[in-house]
Amino acid sequence: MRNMCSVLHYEFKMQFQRLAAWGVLLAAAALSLLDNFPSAGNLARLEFLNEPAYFVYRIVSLDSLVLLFGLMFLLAGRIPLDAKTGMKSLLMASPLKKWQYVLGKLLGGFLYVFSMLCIFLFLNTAVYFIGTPFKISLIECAVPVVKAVLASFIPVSLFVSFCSIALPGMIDIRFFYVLAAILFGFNAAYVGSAEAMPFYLITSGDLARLIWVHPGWPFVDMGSVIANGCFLAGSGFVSGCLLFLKHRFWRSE
Amino acid sequence: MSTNIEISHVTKTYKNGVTALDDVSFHAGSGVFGLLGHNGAGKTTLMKALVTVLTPSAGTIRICGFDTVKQGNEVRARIGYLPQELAMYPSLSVFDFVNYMAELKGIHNKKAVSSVLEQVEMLEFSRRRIGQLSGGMKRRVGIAQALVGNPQILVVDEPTAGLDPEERVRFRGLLSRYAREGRTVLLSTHIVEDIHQLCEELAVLRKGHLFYAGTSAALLERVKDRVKILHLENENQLIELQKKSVVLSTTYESQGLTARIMDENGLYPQTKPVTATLEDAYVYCMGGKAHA
Repeated sequence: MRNMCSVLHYEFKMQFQRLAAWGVLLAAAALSLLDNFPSAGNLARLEFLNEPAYFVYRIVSLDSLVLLFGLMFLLAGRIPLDAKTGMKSLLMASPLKKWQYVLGKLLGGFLYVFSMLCIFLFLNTAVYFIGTPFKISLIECAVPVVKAVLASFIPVSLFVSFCSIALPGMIDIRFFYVLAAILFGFNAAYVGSAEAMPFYLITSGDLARLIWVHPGWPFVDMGSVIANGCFLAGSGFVSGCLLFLKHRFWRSE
Repeated sequence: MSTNIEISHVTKTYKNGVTALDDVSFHAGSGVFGLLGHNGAGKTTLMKALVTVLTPSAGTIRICGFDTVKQGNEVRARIGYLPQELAMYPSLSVFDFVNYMAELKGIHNKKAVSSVLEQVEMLEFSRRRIGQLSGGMKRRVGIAQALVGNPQILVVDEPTAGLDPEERVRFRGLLSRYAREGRTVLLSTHIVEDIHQLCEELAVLRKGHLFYAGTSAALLERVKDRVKILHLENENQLIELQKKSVVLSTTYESQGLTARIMDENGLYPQTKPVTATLEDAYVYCMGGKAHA
């Protein structure tokens, strides 16, 4: 258990020190504020921007996708890099066990994606709170943020981190990039409707409706919410299990 | 002298059918033990089998009496390993990287990490990121992570490749010091000078077969009084010479060239005998006649 925690700790630390990821986060934050900052133009364009819950909903369902896409690409190299740099041989020669290595990598990645998403949302919401011309209370901002973190960020982080760390450990990383680009492309191109959303959407699925719903269609299809959550969490979990079950990935024990 | 490493009839055949090791047997006690062989001879495969990363197809390896396949955990607790290609994690600091490796070995003691960094003269650079280090410094960090916890067996694969002469000397001193007090350093290299300076005993691998195992002195004895130098007028003479004898090395001069040869049967009376070196013996082995 201690070895797993060491892998997790250093994996998180290494990721957190990557300047490229901070660049992606800042770029995504700039884009999201251009789109959602409560300026006169944006308020005229977006009917519900005066509601903090709507602002958080937009950040989660649209703008966080840019950050997640960047993080997915950055995380995808973690296991192939270990093999390429000789670190895998070194780790296998230590008393580290396969489950400790795999779980440490996956959970380190999960915590990292989750932290980055939270920072992204907190940063945007803080700017919104400070810059809004309306009088809004802190609690009005805090409630949708907590909903977003609990309802959306946990399953989304699980999906992005587990899939992007585990799958390139089993398949060619270029093939993984193509798959990821297609999925994210679908997600970005999907136009929301009052109907139940497809389960495979990463951030625009019905999980995001737990944060805010359109007053004209205030119904949430719980079946679709559960399907969306199951897809995200389940895909991540299955990817992690596949890597763990793969023979010849680690020394024979 | 106790036997720390015991290799018995080890064969390793990969899934693609390539046999990297074929019935290799030798043992090593305390001190620095050299493993020589050209690229592709099977040294790295043997090293990986020793540190439990690879499983032999046949045969057994025992480290401090523990079988590498059946008692892997016991073995891993007793070895330090420096792989041939180790780029490490460039974003981590020197201290963090060595501390990470120490934690994986069950050592949660920052003083032990500082101590090992001091041994390799890297303590003053402990806050520097690995990505900012020179090649020699990276190798020192690599050896520091292998030394942490004072393992009984240290397995180092080509540790001096690509280092400048000063770093190589420093590295040799470090390995030599470590091998005292009953510990074993298994040093794999194709740099004969390193073996000559450090090892009393060595094994020579050639195309997966064990070609020689024993003392450096015994290997030198095989070529004693048979290494000679011969002056040649031109390259045509060298080509003719190569057909009849083992040419160990050649030096081009302003007029002609000098060949260092193995004159086994006194075929060349015009040659001058010289003191044989371990490199002569090794090249002769690789020429394939030492066993005759």
